[in-house]
This record gives sequence, structure tokens and C-alpha cells, in this order.
Amino acid sequence: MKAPWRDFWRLVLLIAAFLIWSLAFIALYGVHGAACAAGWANADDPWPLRLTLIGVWAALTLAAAAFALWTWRRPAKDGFLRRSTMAIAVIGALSTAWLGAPLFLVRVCA
Amino acid sequence: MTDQTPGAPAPLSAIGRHKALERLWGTPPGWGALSAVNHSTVGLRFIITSFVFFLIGGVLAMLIRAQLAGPETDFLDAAAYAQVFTMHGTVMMFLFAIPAIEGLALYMLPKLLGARDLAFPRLSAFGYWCYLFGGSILILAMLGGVAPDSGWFMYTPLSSKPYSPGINSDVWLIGVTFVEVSAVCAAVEFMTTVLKIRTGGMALHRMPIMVWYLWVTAAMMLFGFPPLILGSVLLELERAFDWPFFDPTRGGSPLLWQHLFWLFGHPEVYIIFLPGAGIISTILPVFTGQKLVGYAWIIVALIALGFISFGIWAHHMFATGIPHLSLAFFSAASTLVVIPTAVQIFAWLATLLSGRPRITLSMLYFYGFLSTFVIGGLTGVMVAVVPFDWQAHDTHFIVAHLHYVLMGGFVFPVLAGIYYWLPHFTGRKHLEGLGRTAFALIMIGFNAAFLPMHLTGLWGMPRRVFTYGGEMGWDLLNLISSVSGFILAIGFALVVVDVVQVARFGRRSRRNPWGASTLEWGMPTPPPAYNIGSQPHVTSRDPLEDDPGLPAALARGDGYLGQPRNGWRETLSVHMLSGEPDQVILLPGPTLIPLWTALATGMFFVSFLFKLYPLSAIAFVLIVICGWRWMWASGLREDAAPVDIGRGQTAPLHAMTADPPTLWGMVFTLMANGVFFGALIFGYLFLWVVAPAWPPPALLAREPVTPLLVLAGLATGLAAVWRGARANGESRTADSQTWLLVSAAAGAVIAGGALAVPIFTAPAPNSHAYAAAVTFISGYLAFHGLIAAILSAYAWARSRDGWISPQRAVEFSALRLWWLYLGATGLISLALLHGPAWMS
Ligand code: HEM
Ligand SMILES: [Cu+2]
Repeated sequence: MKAPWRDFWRLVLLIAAFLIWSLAFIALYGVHGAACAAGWANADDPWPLRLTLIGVWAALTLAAAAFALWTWRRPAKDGFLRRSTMAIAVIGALSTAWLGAPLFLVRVCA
Repeated sequence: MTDQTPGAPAPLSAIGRHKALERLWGTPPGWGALSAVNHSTVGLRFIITSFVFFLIGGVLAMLIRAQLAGPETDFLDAAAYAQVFTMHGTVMMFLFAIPAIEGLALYMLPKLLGARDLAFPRLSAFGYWCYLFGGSILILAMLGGVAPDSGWFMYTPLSSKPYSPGINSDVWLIGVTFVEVSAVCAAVEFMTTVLKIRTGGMALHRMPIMVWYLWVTAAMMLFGFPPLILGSVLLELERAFDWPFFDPTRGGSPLLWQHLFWLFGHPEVYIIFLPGAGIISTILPVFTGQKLVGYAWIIVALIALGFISFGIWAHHMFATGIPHLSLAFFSAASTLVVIPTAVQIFAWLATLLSGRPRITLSMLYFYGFLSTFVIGGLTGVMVAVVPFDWQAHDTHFIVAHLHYVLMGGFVFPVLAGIYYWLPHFTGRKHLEGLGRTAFALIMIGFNAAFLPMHLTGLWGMPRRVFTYGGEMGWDLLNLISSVSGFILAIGFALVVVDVVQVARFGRRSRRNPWGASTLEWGMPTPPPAYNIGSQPHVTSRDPLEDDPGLPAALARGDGYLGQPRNGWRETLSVHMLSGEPDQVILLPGPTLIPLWTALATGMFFVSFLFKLYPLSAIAFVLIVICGWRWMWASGLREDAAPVDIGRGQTAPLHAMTADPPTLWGMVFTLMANGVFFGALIFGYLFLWVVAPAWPPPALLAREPVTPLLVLAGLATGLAAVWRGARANGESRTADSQTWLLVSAAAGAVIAGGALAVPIFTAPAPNSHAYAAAVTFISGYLAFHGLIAAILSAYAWARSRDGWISPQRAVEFSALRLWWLYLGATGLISLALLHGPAWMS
């Protein structure tokens, strides 16, 4: 990759954790909204949908966690950018995890 | 333009340098002022214009309060009241708050970065004209008695044709969209500028904190405005041609509007709040004599905030009956968003407590901001709780909350900033007496006006209702609100008087009166058109503190680019991470082309407003012609060697590099475009799964011809631009030109193939939202094919005329990005368009 793009991607890495967060948000909201609207799930048998949502959430939370771990293991480079990337990665992973809380508390499609 | 290594011209004296640079960077007098592109000039115009709109919005607020002062007033009737509160909200949000921020950023950003201008000066000017013209449309409509009247968020179906048959809603949709064009331009410009146009040595972690705030704000604008623009376009299409995107009887949904609006609207709150917070983070260290605590943590918080604030749009829709779990996701995000805000508040408190605060006007506004904003935040947490929101929804409690947040989070910090930078803007000192009186009036007036509204709201007084009965018991509190509202207005009027008299009669102030350490104070005040005699090499976040002699040294020309030459407007561009100089940017001088382009754009919008569609088509052609001439004016016709930049270093001219600002401008433009497209897909799928009356009665005809045409066009175009770029890189100019023609043809084929769908195979667009959406998506695809064709033709003409060489090839790299974007969105569009037909 040419140098300017490589630098640009390092900036993208800075925010990557929250890109995962955004993906999680869109996926949860979208799958749930679509499923409810299309009547795939009903109040009597919420589990298939709930499990699907939990699966989506768990996968993306894991991805965010893996990314955070990777940023912490990376060999040291330029200080500020690296440390900020690490901090945002951890916060992004926690935020992604937090999005799942309602899955366990609230009824689906009501 | 070739000889770049002159035999070292005689060094200039500081005065000589000033005169030479002023000649280079100045704006011609008289009518020539219309050609201004300089960021200080355009920025000031933005700021002043936005305050004129603030005064208009304030007068409207006074009309509201006069009407509500007592029960059953008949000063305004229901219809007039609707226009007044709609215009008040619209003017304040779209014509005051956002443009004031843009103006501040336009003016300050290069100065904070130690640069001489922004990345795209002509774009600044274009944005200003769009803003001025779009805002004028709204105000003229109001004077003509046809102002929008469906509330500042224009909910459908109220704003749809059957319920708002007049031109009022069209005025909003078209005027506001016109203004949003300028916001997106500003966002692209700011993103590129912070990325590349800094002074030497300014690595990411040496950027002033305000720059980070503005950068995050710009990114949020880039992502927040396209959904609103999409929503406005769709609604205008519904109103003009009866394409039923929001009509539930024909497969549309009013909720789609709410989603698109709040997808913009909530981030908007933070777009307004962040620059205010940035001002706070800038002035606190100066007035406490203490470094900002937690610089890096604030940046982390800002980035988190930027994202999370997009995940809470639906908290404005708690009362719309979307499923509880969906709302719970938004509640989860809404609670999350508190944390980054808290981080900032703690950082401010820590700075305050560890320093020794000086009480200046700016600091008074800081305290005003803090107390007000905390109250607004608390009521915000209250309405984020779903059951409470059902109670307070659409009452004056919301009006109170909203103004606590907007005044506290935006207006007060801006006032703090005005008093902080007033010596910079004017070069003059202000006396605090009048300002303090104004401050007291504003504080007292504001709280006495809006605190009671919490109560009237909880007692059930609905917002947006033009009067109330005496038996409700709301009289006294409303009277208090109204009287205090006028006190508040007098306070603002005093601020204006104060600022004007300082600018006219204030005593000359010395440079950097507050003892600040950021670069905007390292230049003469008021700043000359070129900002600084030479650009510094910075080694920390506080260059003026490191070296108090820096301003004098820069004026002497000891920094970068201190030697005016060849009539060039030069500013440095840096490596985006390390901040090491990597290019010299040659910026364009005064030109009328932004004004012409804005006029053509205005013609497009206004002809649409009056349903003169042939004129709109002509306007589009004019816009293309203007755009062509605009781009043509920059670049080099011969390769140039790297030039001396001072401090014993050299750097290539931007046209000679692989990533000139134009390239990044294209990247950010495509990002905004991608958000627009993403919102479009969201809307289509949303209607498909949520709206009633789906699946549609008729799908597209199942045929392979048009999708194959488009596919062939995409494949050919992508291949052509790649091979063309390679041929150009290998100096096979004739081949590369042939490939460009192939690329142009491919774009035209795509446009044709896409347009054939609505013309031949789709049901009539007014029959069902599906048909309307399919037509719209085809139009989007066709439009992008057309632009690909035009850009290819442009590159071909440039190549023929000698502007492109193996080194000077930004036309190719930009075109390549366009084709990549077109490839991705084209495939998705094909799937969305033809997938359902083939699967059924
Ligand atoms: C000068 C002092 C101001 C006063 C006395 C004032 C007063 C009011 C009142 C009473 C309403 C409610 C009208 C109703 O719902 O019946 C209102 C609405 C609103 N105000 Fe203000 N306001 C002021 C300044 C501002 C500022 C500075 C902003 C934004 C930066 C702002 C933004 C809004 C918005 C967005 C609405 C909602 C309009 C709608 O419902 O469509 N106001 N204002
Ligand atoms: Cu909100």
C-alpha cells in the first residue's frame, strides 16, 4: 500500500473499535426490527429471535474484544496514536458489550 | 512556473514581507469583495451573517413570548403562531447555530494550525453563498407570509401535500437543503484541512484541543447531514410529484421521515455542543494558568461521543410505538453517552481546581455555561427515561430542556469565545463593564424565562399551541417567562452593542493579551490576510509558551515559506501523523467562480420551488460548466522540482505528489455520499419490512438487459480507469487518453442502463413507495454514471491540454476513487432493484 493510505488506515484503526460498535448497533436494531415487523417472532416463543440477537451481539462483542487485545499486543510504535487506539479499543469493546444488556432484560417484539 | 530554485532573492524586511504577502493574499476592494476566498474574510462573513439570523430568530422568540404572555391573547392566530415558532426553531438551528460554528471554524482553524488558509478556499466561498441564498429564501418566504409552519422538524404527514398544500413546506425543504449543501462542503473542507494543512511539526498530539473538537464535529457533520438531505429530497419529491415515500396508503411511512430526521437531529445537538465545549477547553487553561487536564482522555471521549451520539436518534421517537427492545437499545446508548460528557466535565473541573482562575467575562460565561448545562443535562436524563418521556412529551418541559441545553451548551460558550477572541478579531481591548451588565441580564433573564417552563410543562401546557385558557392556572408563570424573555433579549442586544463599540472605538490591544500559548495568538491582530509571515516548526502543544519570541521570528521570516515568490499563495501541508512537512500547497486567489456556481445552484433550487423544471435542467448544466471551469483553474502544466521551504528543507508542490488535498477531498466527499446512499438503503428496507401495504402490487419487469448493461458498464469503467492510470504512469499518454474515453463511454452506458428501468420496466412512481424507491435508486445510479462520464471527459481534456503527467495524476486517482465507489454502490443498487423481481 502507498504511504499516504497506510497512514490513513492507521487513523481508521484509531476509531475501528467504534466502527464495530456501530455495526453491532445497526445489526441488533435492524435484525430485531425486521424480525418483529415481519412477524418472525411472537410473544409466546421469543427464544429463536432472542438467541439470534444474542448470537449477533456475542460475535461482535468478541470481535471488538479481539481487536482490543490485538492493539495491546502490538509492538510499540509512535506513542500518542498507539495509546489512544488502545484506549478507544477497550472502551469500544465495553460499549459493544453494554449494548447487549437489554437483550437479557426486555421482552422481544412487545 | 518552473524555475523553483532561484538564486536566493534578497531577504525581505518584516515590513517588506508584510506588504508583499498582503498583496498576494488580499481581496480586491469594491465589487472585488465578491471574489473573496480568504478564510478570514469568508469566516467573518459567516459569523456576522449567522448573528443577523440570530437576531431574526430572537425577534421571532419575542413574538412567541408576547403571544404566550397571557391567556387567550389574540396577537397571533394559530396559523401565524405556527409560522413563527417553526421559523424560530429553523432559523436558530439551521441558520444560526450550525453556520456560526462553520464560521468560527473557517476563521480559526488555519490560525490554530499555523497555516495560511484552508485546503479549499473556493469551497469556503461557495459554502458561504449557498448559506446566504438558502437562508434568504426562508426569510423572504416569511416576509411574504408563506413561511414553513409544520415545526422545525417538519413531521409528515403534517408537512405532506394534503395537510400543507401551500408552498410553505417546500420553502423549508429547499431552503434548508440549500444551506445543508454548505454544511457538507464545510465538513469536507475541515476534514481535509486538519488531516493535511498544518504547520511543520504539528503531529496529531500537538494539535490544539480546539482542533480536535472541530475535527470530530466536522466528521459528525459529514455523517449527520446526508440523511437529512435525503429525507428532504424524498419529501420534496413526494410533494412535487406525488411519489408516496411517506404515504402509508401507498406503501410509505411517516416514521421514515422521523428516522431520517433524527438520524441527523440528535447528532446535530452534539454538532452544536462540541464546538462550544471546545471553546471551554481552550479558554479554561488560559484563564486558570493551568494546562488542560486530560488532553488525551478528552480526545478519546470525543471520538466515543461522536459515534455514540448517532446511536440515540430514536430517543426522540419514544412515543411512536416502536418495539420496547429497540427502544432499549437506544436507552442503552443514551446512558452510555453520558460518560464522555462526564469525562469532559471532570477534566474541566480538575483544570479549574488545580489552577488559579482569573475572573474575566469569558470565565463568567463559563460558569454560566456549567450551571445551565448541568440543569439541561439532568432534565435530559429525565426525558431519556421512557415512561417520563411519555409524560413530558410535547410539553413546555421539553421547550425548557431544549433551551437549557442549547443556551447552556452552545450560546454561552460562544459568548465566552467571542470575548476571548475579540482582541484577536479586532486588535482592540474591551472594557468589561458593559459586558458584565449584559452577562447579568442574560443570566437572570434566561433562568427566569425558562425555569418556570419546567413547571408549566409538567402541569400539561403543550408546546406549539398558540394560546391557553385562563382557567388552566398557567398565567402567572407565563407572564414571568415572557417578561424575563425580554430581559434576556435586552442582554443580547447589549452584547451586540458592546462588540460593535469595541470594534469601532476600542483601544489598540497588545498582541496576545491573555498570555495564551496557541498559534492564533502568534500573529498580528487583527490578523492580516496571510495570517503569518512564515510558518513555525512546532515541537509541543504550546509553541508560544516554549518560545515567547516566536511571533517576532515568524514575522522576520524565520519559519517555513517566509519568502513570497512567483505570485504564489503558499501554505504547508504535512504528513498526517507525524506533522513533518511533505508538500507545498498552492492555493487559488480571488475568483468569482464560487459565486457563479452558487448562483447556478440557487437557480436549480428556486426553479424547483416554483416547479419550473426545464429551468432546473438548465441550471444543472450550468452547475456542471461552473464545476468544470472551477477544477480546470488549478494544477501545473509542467513537472516542477521540489521547492525550497525555508529552514533548509525542500518539498514538492502539491500537484506533484500522490496525495494532494483534492484526493482527500474526494475521499471525504465519497464518505458523505456513502452515508446518503446508506440512508437510502435503510429507507428502502425500512419501508419494505415496516410500512403497511407491502409487498407492492407490482414489481419491476423481470429482464436481463438493463442489469447486464449496468454490469458491463461497471466492469469496463473500472478496468479502463485502472489501465488508463497505468498507461499514464508509464508515459503512454495516447493510450491513457483512449482509456479515459472508454471510461467516459462506460459511465454513459451505466446512466442509460439505469434510466431505462424507470422508463421501461418500473411501475409508475406515484403508484406505490416501491416504485418511487426503485425510480429514485435508478436515478441515483444514473446520476453517478453521468458524473463518471463527465469526470472522465474532464480528465481526457486535461490530459490533452498537458495538465497530466506520470507525476501529476490526481485526475486519475480521483477518478479511480469515483469508479470504486460507483462499483460498490452500483452492485448494491442492482441487487436492490432487480433482486426482488428475480426472486419472486
Ligand atoms: C432569545 C431567547 C429565546 C427565547 C425567549 C425562546 C423561546 C422559545 C419558545 C417559547 C419556544 C416554544 C414555542 C412553542 O412550542 O410554542 C421555542 C422553541 C424553540 N426554540 Fe427557542 N427561544 C430562544 C432562543 C433559542 C435559541 C438560541 C435556540 C437554538 C440555538 C432556540 C431553539 C428553539 C427550537 C429548536 C424550538 C422548537 C421549535 C419547534 O417547536 O418547532 N431558541 N423557543
Ligand atoms: Cu436527541
